Amino acid sequence: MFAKFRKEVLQRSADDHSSGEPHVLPLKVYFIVFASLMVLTVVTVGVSLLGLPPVPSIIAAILVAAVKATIVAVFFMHLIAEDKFYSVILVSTVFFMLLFFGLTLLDMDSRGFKNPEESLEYWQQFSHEKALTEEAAPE
Amino acid sequence: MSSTSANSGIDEKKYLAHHFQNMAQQNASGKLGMWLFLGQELLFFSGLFMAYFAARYFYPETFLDAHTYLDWKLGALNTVVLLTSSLTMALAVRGAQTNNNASLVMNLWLTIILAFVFLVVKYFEYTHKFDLGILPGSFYAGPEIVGQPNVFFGLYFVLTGMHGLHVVIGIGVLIWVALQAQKGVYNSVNHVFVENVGLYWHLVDLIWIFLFPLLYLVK
Repeated sequence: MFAKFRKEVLQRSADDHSSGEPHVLPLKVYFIVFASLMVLTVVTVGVSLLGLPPVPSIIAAILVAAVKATIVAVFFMHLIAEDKFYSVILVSTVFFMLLFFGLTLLDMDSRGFKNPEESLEYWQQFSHEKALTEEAAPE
Repeated sequence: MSSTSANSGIDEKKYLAHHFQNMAQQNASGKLGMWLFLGQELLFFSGLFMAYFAARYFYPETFLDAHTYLDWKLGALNTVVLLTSSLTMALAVRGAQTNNNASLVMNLWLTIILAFVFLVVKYFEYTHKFDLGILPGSFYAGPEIVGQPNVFFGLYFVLTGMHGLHVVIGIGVLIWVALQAQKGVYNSVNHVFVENVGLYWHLVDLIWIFLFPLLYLVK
């Protein structure tokens, strides 16, 4: 359905590219997209009220947000009707973001601050030591 | 709306810069630059989001308690406001593409009004927090919360503040575009500037889509 729709959109404005004819999406598309974004906003709030445990809860929240973001990018930002190169830029940016998040979280995970008490202790000790060194060396 | 005749009667030479071969190339170059800028913006914000994830990893209980001081209803209201402004922005771009200048101008001003509504809601949220003594970082004088509430609210102010700054810049650019549009500068040949402002505005919306559940709906 999606591929067919894309083909339709492209065909409609494929006749003359040299003059910079814009790819125009049908008006209906914008309102359907807007309505689905509203529904997904309700879903976002609904998911948080499900009472899921912390980790599944944040993953669910991010997934719903990702679906919303994709809809905004594909339709409102016209990626569906544009040169694919812009999509490549966006997707590669997201790839590097995920790499950044993934590697940093992996690194934190391997340092053994699994529980909050331990991490709190670490940071309290860290700030205490920092305060001591600052006391020892006044400006 | 028929794309074969949309550009008839518009002198392309008026808008074509001398270093481009045709409008298609000029428009594509402009949009490529905008997309690269948006990619850079996403990477910039990913640093702030990473700070959020790290802090939440260290202080999950702080986040659970502290987020109750944010009103999720106001957050949801602002989500609806921004999504609606994204719709009006998209319609404005469509207005420029289809030579519908009235629709372009009207939708641009609607977008600007909604952006101001967003900031007004944000203003009430901020002042409410200041009244409770909830200030970022070492200025925190708010309620006792387990762990490091100053870290959570520091992140809250930096994330929403950076996003708010983008909204303010967006309003400035949008007003300029709206004034230009009223002079009839934009049409189906010369529309890439409106589109680029639209892309920027949608990105601001896109970032809020992630900020809303992460800050207001912690569970």
